[in-house]
Amino acid sequence: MAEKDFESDDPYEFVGVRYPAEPGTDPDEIMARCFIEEYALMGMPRDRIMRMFASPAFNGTHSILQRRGVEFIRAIAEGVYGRPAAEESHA
Amino acid sequence: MPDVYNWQLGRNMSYRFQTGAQKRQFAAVFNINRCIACQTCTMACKSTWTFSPGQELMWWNNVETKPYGGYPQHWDAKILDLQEQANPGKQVWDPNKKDAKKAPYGTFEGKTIFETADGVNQQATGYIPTEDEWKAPNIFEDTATKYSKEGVTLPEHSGWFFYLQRICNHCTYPACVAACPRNAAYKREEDGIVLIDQQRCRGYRKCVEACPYKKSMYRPSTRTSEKCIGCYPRVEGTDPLTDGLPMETRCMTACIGKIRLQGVVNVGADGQWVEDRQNPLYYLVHVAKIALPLYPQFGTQPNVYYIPPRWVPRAHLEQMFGPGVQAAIDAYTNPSRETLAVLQLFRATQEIIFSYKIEQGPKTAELTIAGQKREIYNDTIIGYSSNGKEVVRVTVDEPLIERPDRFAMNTI
Repeated sequence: MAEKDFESDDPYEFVGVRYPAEPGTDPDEIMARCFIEEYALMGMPRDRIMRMFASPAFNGTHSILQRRGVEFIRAIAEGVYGRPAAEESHA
Repeated sequence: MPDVYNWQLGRNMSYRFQTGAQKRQFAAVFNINRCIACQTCTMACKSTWTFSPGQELMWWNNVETKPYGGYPQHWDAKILDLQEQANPGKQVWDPNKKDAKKAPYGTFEGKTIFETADGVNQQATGYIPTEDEWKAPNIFEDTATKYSKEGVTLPEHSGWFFYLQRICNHCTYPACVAACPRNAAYKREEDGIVLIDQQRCRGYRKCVEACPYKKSMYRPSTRTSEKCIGCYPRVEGTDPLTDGLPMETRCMTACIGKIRLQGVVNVGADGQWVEDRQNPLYYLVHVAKIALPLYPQFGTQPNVYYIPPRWVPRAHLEQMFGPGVQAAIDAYTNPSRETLAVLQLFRATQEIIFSYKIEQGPKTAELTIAGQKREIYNDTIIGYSSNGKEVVRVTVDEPLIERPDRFAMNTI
């Protein structure tokens, strides 16, 4: 990242800004679901996916967990994989 | 001018040359959902073809961050704007005028870049980018902090973006070929790869102006234009590594995200792909319909297809990939058993896969994907080369190899 201030007449200057998500959508939910479903379809077990959100080494997934909390992630994973067998036996 | 059929537009259109001589077509599918913009493809291409003096600003393969990035800067916004100025308010699709084979996405009611050009000064509507626009690919694309009043640091998904991988589309109706006053740009009969004859080229830059994807580039040191050559020695099978079998291009085989699949499809006398159900590219584009052309409304019938990113607002994607977007995303998000297997062929081997076969495997999971319950099977997909030799065998369940955190933390 450059240390000097940006100048709007600099021909190399980046002129875009972020594009907000559409009203009524939850970008965190869309992206978390995207990660979980993509990996689930390739055979990744639930605990490995949850680890991916928990580990700070995976910045994208971990930042969602930091913003929204583990219950948010767990609920989406549960929607995809169903309730974990251990929890069902206690229910 | 001859009338040619463009199935991506669902209608005839004018083009400078007639089709019919071509036998096969270079084609590829890129899965945008899995690209991390590592630029390994970009560097593989650069280190193979464009490392010489005069090619410093030349990236035949590039990956740009959409919607704001571009190489050259704003290339697509500028072409869309030129087209809109030429045919204001009428650059629209009629998604209801559909035919499963001849017009799968509906019919484009607007004008192509060939139809908005005057045919005298320009064969296709376009522009020559300034030198500055070529100079800084990717600069600040992912780190836009200063102009956002909220001080947002990207990437963070309070907004949205995606990576767009771009090479020459080796179009069925290339604008560079139509525009070249010396017929130096041409399309090969044997595989549809579009090349520029360096002996004939005099550097008029008509191809640079006409190519809507801006994949023809001027080289000042030779005073000629150059472009992606589809790694044709590899596609021809002349690389000793594969004993004469056709091989994928450098950018495809270098892809660590396994987002790319490239091949060659058969073409009929009408210039269209011949039905070949077991060719993975034919399957993804014409059967599963999960891969779409980039800006089909330009009219060049590009042969690189994209699986659109599922998280991006549909209006933006429809402008970019046409009206087939929602159906393609639905088919990708909850793929059929066959599609799930074919997706595993992406970058699984260096050899070009001409056909595949699936061996059914055991059920491994029951999931709810996109709100629908489904069963997952660990099928095995086998890919075959041009001579019928098995060149790859992979399963739907992907082996998991995870580096320990202590290594992952050291990567930056």
